[in-house]
This record gives sequence, structure tokens and C-alpha cells, in this order.
Amino acid sequence: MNGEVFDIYRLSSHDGPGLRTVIFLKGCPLRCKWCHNPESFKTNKEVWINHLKCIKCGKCILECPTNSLKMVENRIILDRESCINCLKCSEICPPKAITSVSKTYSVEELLKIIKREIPFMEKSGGGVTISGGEPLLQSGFLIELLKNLKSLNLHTAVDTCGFISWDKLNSILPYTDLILYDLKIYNDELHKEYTGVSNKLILENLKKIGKLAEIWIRTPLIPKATSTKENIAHIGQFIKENLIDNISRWELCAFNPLASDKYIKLNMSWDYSNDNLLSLHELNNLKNIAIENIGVSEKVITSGFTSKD
Amino acid sequence: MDFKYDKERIGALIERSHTLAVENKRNVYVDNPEFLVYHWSGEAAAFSPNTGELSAAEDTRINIGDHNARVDVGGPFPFAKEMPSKVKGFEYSCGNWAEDYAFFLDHSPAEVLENERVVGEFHWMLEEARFFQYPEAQRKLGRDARELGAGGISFTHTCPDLGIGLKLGWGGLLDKVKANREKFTKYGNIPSAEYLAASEVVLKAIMRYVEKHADVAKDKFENETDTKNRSNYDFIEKNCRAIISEPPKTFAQAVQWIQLFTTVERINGHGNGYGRLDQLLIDFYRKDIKDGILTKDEAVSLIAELYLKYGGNYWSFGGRDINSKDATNEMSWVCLHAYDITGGYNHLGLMWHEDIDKEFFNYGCDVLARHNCGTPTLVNFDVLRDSQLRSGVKEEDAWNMAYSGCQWYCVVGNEYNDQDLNSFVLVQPMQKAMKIAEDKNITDFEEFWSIYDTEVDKTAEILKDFKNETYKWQAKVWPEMVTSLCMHGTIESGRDVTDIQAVKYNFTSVNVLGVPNVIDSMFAMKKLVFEQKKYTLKQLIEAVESDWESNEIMRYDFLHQNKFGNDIDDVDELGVRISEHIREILESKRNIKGFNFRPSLFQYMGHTYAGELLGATPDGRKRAEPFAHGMNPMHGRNTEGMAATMDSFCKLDYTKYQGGSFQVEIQPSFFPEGSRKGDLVETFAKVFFEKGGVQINLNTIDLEKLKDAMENPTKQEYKHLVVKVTGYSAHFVVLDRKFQEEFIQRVNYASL
Ligand code: SF4
Ligand code: SF4
Repeated sequence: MNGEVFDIYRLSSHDGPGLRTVIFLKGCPLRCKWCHNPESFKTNKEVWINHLKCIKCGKCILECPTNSLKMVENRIILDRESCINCLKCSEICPPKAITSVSKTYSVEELLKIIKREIPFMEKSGGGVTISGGEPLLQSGFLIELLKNLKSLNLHTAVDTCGFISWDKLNSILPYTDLILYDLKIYNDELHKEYTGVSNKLILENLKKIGKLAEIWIRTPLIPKATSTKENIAHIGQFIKENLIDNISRWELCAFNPLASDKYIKLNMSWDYSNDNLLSLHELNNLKNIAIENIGVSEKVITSGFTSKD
Repeated sequence: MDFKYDKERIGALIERSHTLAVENKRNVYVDNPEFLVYHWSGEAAAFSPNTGELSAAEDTRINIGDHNARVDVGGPFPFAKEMPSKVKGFEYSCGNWAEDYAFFLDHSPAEVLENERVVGEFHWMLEEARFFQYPEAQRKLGRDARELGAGGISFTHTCPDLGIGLKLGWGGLLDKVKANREKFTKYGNIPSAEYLAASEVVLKAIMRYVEKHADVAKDKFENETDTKNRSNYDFIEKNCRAIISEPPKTFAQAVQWIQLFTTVERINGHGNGYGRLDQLLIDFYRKDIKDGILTKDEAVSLIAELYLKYGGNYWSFGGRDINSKDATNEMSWVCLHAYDITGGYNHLGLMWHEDIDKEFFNYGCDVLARHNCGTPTLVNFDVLRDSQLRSGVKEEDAWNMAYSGCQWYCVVGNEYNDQDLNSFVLVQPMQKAMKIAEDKNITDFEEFWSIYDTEVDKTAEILKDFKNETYKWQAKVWPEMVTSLCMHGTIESGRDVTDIQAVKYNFTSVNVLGVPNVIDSMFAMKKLVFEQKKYTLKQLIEAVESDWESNEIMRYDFLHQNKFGNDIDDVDELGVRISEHIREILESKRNIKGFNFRPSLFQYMGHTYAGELLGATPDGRKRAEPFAHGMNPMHGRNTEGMAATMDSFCKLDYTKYQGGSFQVEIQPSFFPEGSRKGDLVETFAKVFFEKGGVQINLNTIDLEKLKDAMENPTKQEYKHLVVKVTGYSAHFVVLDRKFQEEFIQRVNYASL
């Protein structure tokens, strides 16, 4: 069975306990305005362009069956409307300026990569995390992979946005040791505005899953959107009321504006390229609010880049 | 950890140490880029002397960092013109050398500085005042060797057994020298008798020099009113006076003895590793603790001072004892605690093995991670030992191995490996082979390989001739008479450590430069020229000679072939073949001491400057880019993560080589909040060692900070910024700009 993978992090220390291999599966039902991985949105294969690498040889233009590529003012322009994602351009581009966003892997191929990192996992108490996108959009592949990982006795974690049918979510639990659950905005109107979808299903699923698996909640701290006092307080209250005994961690991840290049490569615009880093002071304030609201200090963890005060 | 020590006093010494570094008072210079690449500049017979007739011009010499034992006070040695060899005449002889040495030491000040309780530092080295150059025949061979891609210099890079001196003291060494001199005189062995007569001259000068320290301390004591300072001067005077002739009796005296030994030894120009500090001092430590005259905290501060005197001295801890048991002892902990106080620039080696005290190793990893200066260096003791056993070192000697330099190691007191200072630029025979193959219209890879084989052999052959010519002269040109006092067999045979038949083991060790580039180049040629026949050798040679000018598309073709370091079998297999081949060729060559050459898959800095000298290469590398460092994949070419790189790296059997360090640069963001960094470092190190890796150098690099430090080197916050450059550490702001640039390019594990 094959899956579409847009990135692999090796020996990550940020996505679950210990050192972990993190597999990012392509495709996501949400469209968070701040998203750092816009290449994960669509489930299908597609190309993107690193203009700094392009040597303007024009080979890709000749190769394209749909004439979707043009050289305009010494810059390669891709018309995504007509592009049929055949990847031919990426196969011949000499400096690899045009590349495929993702790569197709079989379970076996991924296992080969993962196995190489097992000694690190064993010594550090780590394992494998499957992230996305929303990995459950490729749920068949996901289950197959998880089963294989469990047969190798590896610790498994799945990072989900929760916007997925309960049945699907439930189906991975037998093979999943830890769920990293993203909870972004408590207010449903704002959730719709910033992510494109309602959070009803997300909250419902969380209540259910909280009783069945170990959970780490993750909240990205996005300027103006999620990093408001009210939002953190509300999420804190929700956790306290519904799952405080079941979660082992609530992680507040400070935002960084480091995804601009990706948006340029996909010729998309992004509102967050000029946003500043959160200051350490602001981050600590939010952390205190979180602690006040869930009432347990050791469960709140912060991560990510901050600026000096 | 909380240690009780005089924070004000040690703090002042720490600050002084950083200040000396960033004010460029500790710099080591080399004459030119050729020195870095070939380990011989064509001029100086060593590193570039800081002053004097043989020093290089200020605007052309290259600063390799604050790696010098010498503390610069400006200006040349004031008595340089009055050196005996200049007044009475120069001779290539040990007697002539010893007379110069004695004069030099007699005219070097004894420094007793405020806040110190351990003394000994110097401002000039003998090579700044005495002629140090080989005869023309040797130099001509050196120039010929360079044409074929080899070079080197020779001076001690060995590890004396300081236990010999600690046991006998200077007076006991003098008695030993005299007794052997009488023996050789009686039996008519004039050269050995003469050598020992010269040793006497050296020893007596050292004893005067030690006494001078006691006298200066006494003088300072008498003219001082502050009680704390008085007590320090009194302590120094007593310790120095006690060890003028007698062996040290207390821990403090032993530390003082060691510091003065390294002072009088390094003053003649070059540095050694000094062995297993925990083993050398354990008996003194236990006795003083038992006698109630020393506390652990006092021991920690004395060792901290020893490190601060000159952090470039390589010391090692841990390892195994003669019965193959873990050798970690209380003193090992003291040695690490001492570094935990000082942090910063230093060169300490922690020798891991499977049975090492777990807490001790974890503490070492924690110290490494917290201070983030690449110290201690983590090495795999069993691989060091086994590589020695494989080379023919006897069981009874091989256990006593000490990590002694950037990546090299020695049997303590028994080995004069000519290490770390010979270079084999593997790219050059490959380039020659390409031209020959083109002339002969070779179209088959194996035929090309056989030409390459011949060319590599030619380079090895001339390197052997050059080294042998050097060995014929070395003991006369620049004997290492102080080192020889603490070697086994040297005084007994009346021969200098650099001489033939002086010590048990005399391999010649060679740093091989550019192995990963040769692997990537040969692999790309194999695929594109010989198998697919997409390009001819002629086209390729023209393209690399023009630095790929107008051949950009072709360059990408070569660049995008599989690269070493990603755990890809086909290219890694060729990597093993190439490495094994250079090893076999070097091992087939013998020096006139009867020992073979040994390869080290390491070269400390040549890769930064080699680009301009050697041009572009068929791996898609452009002229201006650095070469790969040691056996590490080229910058940016390991795309499959660190585990894959480790696996490629460890496809070689490191017991067959003499070192090959794995360099890891990671970003601070790698360590999550609240994590114990040391535990992650320990994980990396253990996985690596269990795969058979020999040495891991780890830096956490904050790229933004380093870039800012390059632009604003005088900012106070960068004064303490120390990085593990390759096998040695240095203050970042002091480094040559090209080194800084290369260092920044290295961050190869943004995502591991
Ligand atoms: S093939 Fe690649 S390098 Fe050439 S024009 Fe297209 S994108 Fe640019
Ligand atoms: S992916 Fe195919 S259709 Fe799209 S631009 Fe490239 S070559 Fe044209």
C-alpha cells in the first residue's frame, strides 16, 4: 500500500516523547490561515518552484504537455489551473528548482527509513509520529503503517486536527500509543473564520477520545487568532471540565513567520510573513493563564521560538 | 553541581583566559594555505613561528585560532641575537640545540601572576630564536611530494608518560641521565653519551627555571601586604621549591610539576597530548585526602587552574585499565568537575567503552551539552585500542591508550607516531588519473581504477621518501629533549624520541584529505562517463578546469548523482573501496624506523582552503567551495538525516584507521524546553559508538548568533563563544574568516 508523504523529520525531539521519526502525510481538511505547511493542503501530487535555484534553461517549458509553464520577465510562471500534475517538469529540471511537493512511499520503504533510527528511539524513549496535513485523510495507509510499527514494538503517535469522522479516528486507537491533538480556537465563529471549518466535531471527538487514549493537546499561538487570553482561558476550561485526568500534556507552541518561502514556491499569498515572534514575556503570560485555567502546572509546556523581551 | 571554590579568584583567571584569546594573544599561525592542505608550507619546518627570522609576513599568514600555549606580550624574544648558536655557530646537533635551549630558558621570565596557585607560562618559543629548517635535500623532496599531493612536517605529536617524571622528579631524571651517560661512555657509545650530556644541560636549565619560580614567588610574598595574595605566593613558593629536584609529594605539587613540565616542554615549539590525567594523579589524590591535607573542592580548583593555564593541552579520562576493567576513578570526576567550573576552550577527551561508569559518562555528556564548547570530546576507547592492536602494538601496551590530539591517540610513553601533521590529498592522484585516462582513451571504469591505483601509489611512495629523508635528520635538526625525558627507553638508549630505535612504536600517520569528494567524484564519473557514456572524460576535464563555466546543466548532472553519507549502498560501497584502497597502499609503505604508514580519515583544516588550490571536482563541486571535512559528507549533501549519515560513516571499520571523527552541528531549537540536553547527547554518542564509530564532535550552533558574531566580533557577549572547529576548539571571533564561513555552512542537521 502506498502513501503520499510531503516531509520526513529525522530524530525530531518535538513531536512526542524522545527522539522520533515524523512522517507527514499529504492532505488536510482545514485551511488554517497561518498554516506552515501549505504544501500539505491537497491530497494529490503537485509541483512547486524554488525560483532562487532556477537557471532559466527553459527545459521544463518544452517538457510540459499542457503548456502550463511560461517564462515571464525571466521568471518561470506556472498556471496551476491547466497543470495536470504529471511531474514531468520536475523530473528533468537540472538544478531541481521545480520539484514534486510529495513523494509516494510504500509502507516497506518507510519502514526502512524508520528502522535505521530505532537505536536512537530505544535509547531516548522515542518512537514514530505520523503527522500531516491530517494523516487520517490517508487512513488506510495510516493503519497499515501503524500496524507494522506496533509489530516492531515501536511507540506510535498520531498528530491529528480532529476534524474527521469518529469511526476513522477510533479505528487507529488499537495501534496508537499517543494522540497529539490540535486544539486551536475555542470560539466556533472564529474557528470557522481562521480554519475554514466548525470546531464542533473536533471538540466532540476530543471528549470521546480523551477517555480512550493518552493525549497531548497542542495549541499553536498565532498572533491575534489563537494567542488571545480569552482563547487560552476557554480551551483551558474545556480541558479542565472534560479531560483533565486523561491528558498528559498541553503544549503551547509559539508561532514563527518562517513559512513565507513555501507560499512563494506555491504561488500563494500569506498574511503572516511579516509577523513578529512572540516575546518570552507574552509566552509566559499565556502559560500562566493556561495553568490558572486547567489548575495543573506541570501539564503545561511551551515550545517554539520567542524574541527576547 | 555546586562546588565550593574561590569564585572570585578562579573567576578572574577564567576572564583572563578569555581576554587573552580574544585579544589575539594565543593565536597559532601557519605560513600559507598550502600548509593547511599539505601540512607543509614549503617554508617553516613547523607551524609559523610568531616572531623571528622564520616567521611569515603578517598579511599572508593564516590564524588557525587561539590554540597556542604561548602568551603573546608583543615583540620578538629580546635575547634572540645572543643565542649561543648565533654567537658561537650553528650546528645540526643535540649538543648545539641543548645549549640554545638552556640559554633560552635561562632568559625566559618566571611568571607568577596574581590569583594563581599553579604557575608556569611563557611568551616565546625556541623556534623564534633558533634556526629550524631542514637541509635542501629534504625540502626538495617535499616540493616534489606536493606536486603529487602529499606533504608533512615532523615534530612531537606524541604522548609522554608523565608518570616517569612524577615518580623521579627532575633530580631523579638527572641521576638517571648521568648513570646512562656513564654506561655509554664506558662502552664507547659516543653518540648516546653525547646525547645524554646534552640532556644534562637541558635538565639543569629546567631545574634553574623551576627554582626561579620559587624565588619570584618568594619575592612577591615579601613585597605583598594583602593576606590572600600572600598566602597564594607562599603556596607557590613552597610547591615550586619542593619540586626543584625532589619528586612531588602532594597533590598540589604534582599539579605544579605537571604544569611546569608542559611549560618547559612546549616552550621548544610544539605540543603533545599529556595522557590520562585521572590515572596520573589518583595516587596523590587518595593519599592527600586520607592524610586530611586536601579536600575534593581544593583538588577541583587546582585542576581547573591547570586547564586555564593553557586549554590546548590534551588530557583524557575514563578508558580501561590493564585488566580491561573500567578505569574511571574519583579523580576522573574531579577532572570533569574542574571543567564544569571553567567551561570554555579546552581539549579534554572522555574515553567511552561499554563498561564505563554510567553516571560518569552521563555527566560528561551533560557537561558537553551545557557548556556547548565541544568539550569533552567523546571517543570510543575500544576502537582506539583495537586499532593499535591491529597495527601490532602489544597487549601489554595497548591498554594504556590516551586520546592525545584533534583525533589522534597514543600508547602513553611508548610511541612516537608522527601524527596529525602529514597530509595526503587524495583528490590529486584522482585528477592525474583522469588526465592519463583521457590520453589513453580509457572507456572502462575498472581500467580507470587501475590508473588511479598507480597514481595513488606514486603519491604514497614519494610521501614515504620525503618522510624518511626527514627522519634521517629530525633528531639533529630539532630533537625533543624534554619529551624524551618522560618516554620509556629514550634515556636508557641515549636516543631522542624522534630518533630511530628510540621508542617501541614508530608508525607514520597520514591525514587523508578529500575522501568523500573523491568518492562522490568517482561515483559520478562511473555512472555518467563510464556506464551511461553521457559525457566523455575530455568534456568533463574541460568542464572542471573551467570551474563548470558554461556547463551548469552538466554540473547538476554530476551533482545529482548519489552521494556518500546517505546510506545508499552503491555509492557507499565505492566509498569503502576507496578508503580501503588508500589504507592498503599506505600500509604497504614502511618508514626507515621499520613501521608502516597509517591513514587517518581526518584532516583538520585543509578542506577550507583546498578549493582554490585544487579547483572544481567531478562531484559537482565548484572551485570556491570547501572540500568535505574528514570523512564527513560534503556540506549539504547528506539529505537523509543523521542516522543515515552515521550508517554510511560506520560502514568503515575504524579499527583499521587511525581516527576519523564524526562532526555533528545542530541548532539549539533541537533541544525541547525542559529536556536534559546531556541525555540526548548521550543517546547520539552511544548509538554512534555501538556502530563502531571512533569519535564524535558535537556543536550546538545558533546560526544567527554566529553570523552576528562575524560582523560584530567585539560585542561582549561573544567573548566567551567557543566552538569545536574540527578536532580542536577555538574562540569563534578569533578564527580566520574563511574558517568562520565554512563553519556556518556546516549546519547539516537543521532537521536531523
Ligand atoms: S527546467 Fe528548472 S531551471 Fe530550467 S527553467 Fe525550468 S525551472 Fe528553471
Ligand atoms: S506538472 Fe506536468 S502539467 Fe504541471 S507544469 Fe509540470 S509538466 Fe506541466
